[in-house]
Amino acid sequence: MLEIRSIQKTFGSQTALDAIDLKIEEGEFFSLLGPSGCGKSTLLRLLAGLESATSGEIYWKGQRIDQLPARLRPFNMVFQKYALFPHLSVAENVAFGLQLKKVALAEIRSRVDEALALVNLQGFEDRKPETLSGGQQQRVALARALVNRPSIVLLDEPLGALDQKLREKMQADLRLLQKRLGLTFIFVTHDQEEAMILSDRIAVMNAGRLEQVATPRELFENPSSLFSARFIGGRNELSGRAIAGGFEMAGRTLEGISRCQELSQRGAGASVCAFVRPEMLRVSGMSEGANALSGRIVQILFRGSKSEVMIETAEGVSLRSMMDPSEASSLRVGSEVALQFAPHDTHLFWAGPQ
Amino acid sequence: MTERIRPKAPRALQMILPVVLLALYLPLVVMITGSFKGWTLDWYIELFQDPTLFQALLRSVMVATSSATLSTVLAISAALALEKFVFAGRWPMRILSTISLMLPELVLSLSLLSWFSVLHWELSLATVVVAHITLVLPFAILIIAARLTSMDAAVEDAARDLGAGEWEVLSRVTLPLLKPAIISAFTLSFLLSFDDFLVTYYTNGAGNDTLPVKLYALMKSGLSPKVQALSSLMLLVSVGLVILLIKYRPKEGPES
Repeated sequence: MLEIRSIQKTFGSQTALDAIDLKIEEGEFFSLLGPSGCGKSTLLRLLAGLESATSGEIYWKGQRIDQLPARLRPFNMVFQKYALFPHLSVAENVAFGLQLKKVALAEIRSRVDEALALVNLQGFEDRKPETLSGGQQQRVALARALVNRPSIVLLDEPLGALDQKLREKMQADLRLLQKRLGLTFIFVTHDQEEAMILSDRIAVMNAGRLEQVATPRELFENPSSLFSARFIGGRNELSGRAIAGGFEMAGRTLEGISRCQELSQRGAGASVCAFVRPEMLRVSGMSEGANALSGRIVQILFRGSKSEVMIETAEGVSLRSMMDPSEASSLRVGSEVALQFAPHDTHLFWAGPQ
Repeated sequence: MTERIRPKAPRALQMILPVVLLALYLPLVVMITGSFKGWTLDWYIELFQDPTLFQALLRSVMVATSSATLSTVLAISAALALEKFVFAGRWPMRILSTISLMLPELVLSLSLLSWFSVLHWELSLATVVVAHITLVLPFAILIIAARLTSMDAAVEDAARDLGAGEWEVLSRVTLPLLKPAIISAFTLSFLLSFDDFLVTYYTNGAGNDTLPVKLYALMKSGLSPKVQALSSLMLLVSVGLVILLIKYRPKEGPES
């Protein structure tokens, strides 16, 4: 198990990481997810030993490793733009780590072959990195890390430079490889969809702090803060004020909402945000029941497996609902509908100091 | 890409470049033709039969090789220090290391001459080498530092991550990637030193004439075809080296 204890990192007067506590299990595909500048890459570089923490400790299997230099840590990294050695061939790139560890020549050769086979790059041994496509370079970078049999593979936005098609294929390959080898992957990305697909668990980061650490499903269904709710998945937001057990906006109330994170200590009257995923927002005919707002359909977008219905409420708020195309086929643009905010699908978040 | 039709420059302006080029190269053509005066190679043969000239050539090559080698090594160390490490006084040192490019050569020569006399150093080829290093070092530093700044630092991080210590990073990654810049720096240093007259003239002492100084001495006794032949040969060496440098320069970044 990798254990990060109250890691702090400051660059001059700027705090890049603030009191990070994290435990990552062996064999886990763990993602650090956040917008650029949130500190996720800095945390990865700290783990690799390419950066040193201002304070705090890192333990691997119970041993403290944060004072070891990069070369003595049993981790290897896949860099953002691959960082292949341009003056070395593919095979020499992959063999680099083994050569430094004075592994016997015959073993180097067989392990390099094995690593290149793992990423489907047999036959590319003598090519120079510059002659390879982005996807191929990416796989060389992966082989160069894997050949050392690291305990943890650190990946810094490894798919960021690839086009969409290739990216999707590499995501599937990466996940398969990780499960097959049983390795621990720590994966940095700003792409929430990518993190959702790949990860066993995700740490959502914001401004040097961990916002929430949870499984993708948990993050989607039960975000602990407005930031992580907004960062992952689609969103509908209504702003209003908290009332006992619910939410009030322009005279309308939504009641029975139990999912009130970080609100209990703020009490009634605090300015809050009612949050519901587009997938959870029910659109029905005119019958306006409890916890419903009325609105008018502005647009219906067909998105293949889903239809996206865009609605404007009487209060002038734009909302979206995702539903089965068959369900959407009974709806018409311009018609009046009721929007159901089911209590167990609606979250209330403190909207922050305004 | 399709070719774009660009507006034509006025005719008068179009004439400027050919005139400038003519003004530049015509004297060279005159000199080279002069060296074949009487349409013979006799002047060249005379050159090669002159032992003092041969010695001067030898001195020039020695001086240029030594100062180019030493200044390249110094420039590599200086550039690495300036670009890779953070230390107090880094900025002033970076500025000081290149500002001497702008010193008038005459001022440099005179200051060196007085410095050597303060140190009680006998003027010799060694003082010439020292003087040449001060002359060419800024150029060499500039070339190598420029390559270092454009180099992706992540490549060095990758080497560390794969188990390289700082010396191994340097010898296996940084220096190989600097190779094109090192070759350029060496060649330019060699050329600057080989061609230099002024600094050499002030710092070489008696009986240590290099080729350019010798050429000057010869010229004082008149502009003979022999002088022109010698000049033509020096031109050939310089241009030849530059052509070699351009032709065999490894591509930027990855070497081939």
